[in-house]
Amino acid sequence: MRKEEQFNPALSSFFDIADTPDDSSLTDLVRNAKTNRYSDFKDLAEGGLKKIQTCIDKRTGRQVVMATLLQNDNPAHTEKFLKEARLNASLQHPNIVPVYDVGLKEDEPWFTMKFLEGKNLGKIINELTSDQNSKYKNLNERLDIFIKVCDAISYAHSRGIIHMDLKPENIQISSFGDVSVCDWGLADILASDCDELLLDLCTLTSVDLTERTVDGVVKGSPGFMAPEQTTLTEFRKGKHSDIFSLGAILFTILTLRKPLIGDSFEELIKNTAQCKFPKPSELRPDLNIPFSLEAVCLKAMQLKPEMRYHSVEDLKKEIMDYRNGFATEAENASALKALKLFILRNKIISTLALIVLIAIIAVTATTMKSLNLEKENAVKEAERSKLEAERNRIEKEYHERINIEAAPRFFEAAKNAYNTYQFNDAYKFISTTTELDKSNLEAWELKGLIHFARQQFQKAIEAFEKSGKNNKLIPLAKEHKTKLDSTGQLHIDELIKLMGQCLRIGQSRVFTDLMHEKFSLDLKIEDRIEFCKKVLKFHNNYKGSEMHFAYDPETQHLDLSGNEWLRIAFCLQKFPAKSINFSNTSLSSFLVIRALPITTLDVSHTKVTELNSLSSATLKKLILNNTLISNLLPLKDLQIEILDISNTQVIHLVQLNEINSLKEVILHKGQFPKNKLKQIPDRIKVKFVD
Amino acid sequence: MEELHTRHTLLQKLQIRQDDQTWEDFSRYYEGYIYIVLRNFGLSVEDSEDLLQEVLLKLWKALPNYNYEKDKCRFRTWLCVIIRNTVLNFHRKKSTKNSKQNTNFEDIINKLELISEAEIDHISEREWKTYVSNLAWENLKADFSGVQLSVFEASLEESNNAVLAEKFEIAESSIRVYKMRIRKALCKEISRLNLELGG
Repeated sequence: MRKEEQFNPALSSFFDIADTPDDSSLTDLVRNAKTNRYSDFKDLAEGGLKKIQTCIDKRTGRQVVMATLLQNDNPAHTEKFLKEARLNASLQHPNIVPVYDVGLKEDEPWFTMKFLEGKNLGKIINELTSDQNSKYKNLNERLDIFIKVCDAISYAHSRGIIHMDLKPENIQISSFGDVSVCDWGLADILASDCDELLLDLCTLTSVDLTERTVDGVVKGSPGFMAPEQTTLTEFRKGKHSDIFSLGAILFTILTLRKPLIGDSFEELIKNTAQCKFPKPSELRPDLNIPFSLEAVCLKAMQLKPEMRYHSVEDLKKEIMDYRNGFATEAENASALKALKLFILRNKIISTLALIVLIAIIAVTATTMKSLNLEKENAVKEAERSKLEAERNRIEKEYHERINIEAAPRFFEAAKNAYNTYQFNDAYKFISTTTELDKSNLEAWELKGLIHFARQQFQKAIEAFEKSGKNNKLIPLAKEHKTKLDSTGQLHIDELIKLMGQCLRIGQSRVFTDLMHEKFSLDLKIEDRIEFCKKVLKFHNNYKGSEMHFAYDPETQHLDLSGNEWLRIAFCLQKFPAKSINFSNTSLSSFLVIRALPITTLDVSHTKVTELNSLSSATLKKLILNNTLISNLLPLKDLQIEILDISNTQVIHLVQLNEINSLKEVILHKGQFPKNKLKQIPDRIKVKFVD
Repeated sequence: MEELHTRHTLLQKLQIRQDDQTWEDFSRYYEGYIYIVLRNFGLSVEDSEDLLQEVLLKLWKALPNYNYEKDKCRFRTWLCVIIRNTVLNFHRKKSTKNSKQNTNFEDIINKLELISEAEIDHISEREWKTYVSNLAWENLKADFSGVQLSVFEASLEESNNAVLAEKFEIAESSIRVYKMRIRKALCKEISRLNLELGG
């Protein structure tokens, strides 16, 4: 017999492989993939209008998923399909399935996506009941998935895109834990939030193109969709609909059950529309669902959109807070270890809880013996609610503990702001501090001071009382709280009287605070002038009636010259002056005008001796004559153009060189010998006075 | 001479000059194919061996007149038509000789006559592929170890690497590498042979 008789026909398949164009060169491979880029199609799923297949992208040599239309008989469907492709493609986020390419093959639209291995969240949760070894038995692992989904949706919302069909089945988890949100087929664009490129897609959204959803009207997946996605409510759909669905997913993550169910489709829709679902802890009392997470879930799943979280970020933050509370210290700890850490942190409460728990177990054990079933059930019910109340209390306490840890940071910030007279910030920080930690007595005292400075005397009293100290300001606050006018402010005379009282009891800081607060208000110019005048007299302890205080609102020039008694003028903070004349006063420092945007300043014949305290960047003209100033170097960083140094102690004219902005200098005749004057650079004009 | 050797297929060489050496090469390579096609037309082993010589003789005579146009008709299709006609003649002769003994020949002839061009094309293609692939496989056998060859042969029946790995008690990755190596070598050899034979 010839050997040919034994030939194996199976080998002939290699003839075809060998016969096809050379497959060894990558250049040829890529070149040949031009016309028939995708091959080896295998059906994966069908859903809605789409057919999903896996295939090989011969150009890139990888497996991808291709979506095509099931029926290409309606141009509107083609548009809708391409919209989904475009919309999904615009979302580039690690937790959103990426679209690789979009195209038409003989008018048949298609798009390719990443092939996602692994399982969807729905399947993982279903399998939890049977698979004892799944790492997702651990709630924290499940929450990690949820946080990533929140990230994806938060990102999509920031791009003005809402998913509208969030459910566990649309969340794919790879065996390495990658989380991808898929199926953006029902997604919509919020024209107001999206960017230019996406506006093209918006035109379609005014008309509902795909009626081919669940029943032609309902769009979304009953069980996870928001009440407003049924047609039975009046609320508009929007980002809040996704937030509801996220809440429903959280529900499933907590309870391993669907939140919204019904015996019939109609009932399910009705339950959805009415937001009728059990509390997670009631549905699964066996799972010990954390109180705080249940609260998050219930808030996200409120019937009224405005009652839900305002953003996915807010929702995520709550989960993160819970997650961090455990994981940062417990780090993937088992439930037992996490409990241990919890007990360590909350020894007393936990001990109490343990005692209660033991007591309850004991009581339950004894009653179990009772044959009276009815009675037994009633007792059990009571115990359970008792246990639950206790657990809720522990959870709350626990949260307070977490917050307390954050409080000191806010307190530091509040103190810093208060010390620099930033009363708005100080108030915000101190409020947060006392909210987070009601036990910080110093914080209450500071809160009292801030209220006092703002003339909120009742609130000040309350805060001082909580500080536990018998504050000397309480009587003053009590005395003045009845004297407030309709704007909630004391009359200027009353305020000055109060400031005086503060000084007398040694509270000079409160004096300054009151003044600061008053000046930082938007006072009418007449009121400001009146207040300034009074404070100036008071602060400088001037009893006389003579006072030179002239303000021209037109030129914004303030003339205080000749007031020999004037030493302190802090009350000029925020005074709307462009130029001030302090000549012939007892002013000794520039600190008083530190924050004023003045351009001209006259301090001639005053007691100023140095310029270091002068830091006004707006100052153009400075008159220093007849002072003891000798060193001009501090001016070199300012923008002064005209400088009067006649009759001063200035010796070194070279210093003028250092002031780059200087254009004109005024000297008195004979102040410097002629050869010294040559040191003045040419750019500076020299003027002489007698 | 050298140029002739490399540039032209065996077939082309034979058309240019029918020397003994070229003819020997040609018949050595083609007789297996002719034989297997003859068997395909339903002949016994003995009859096939007999007719094989007849077909070769016909070829020897017909080849100089064969107009080689690859696009129009492949040589192997043309060859199969000759084989079919040879078989047909064989049966006709036999039927006149033995008309009284066996009436079945009429049927066979009818059947053979009914075989269309397309069917001949199909048979010639199918058998050619098997033939060249197996020739290539035989040429390769010396280059690979016994295990590799066994694994590859088994892989023709069983595509699951894991099953093969268990059967041969070697790592799955090794199975994959063996298969890939032989596959590449086989494809290369098939290409070479196909080109050389110019069928």
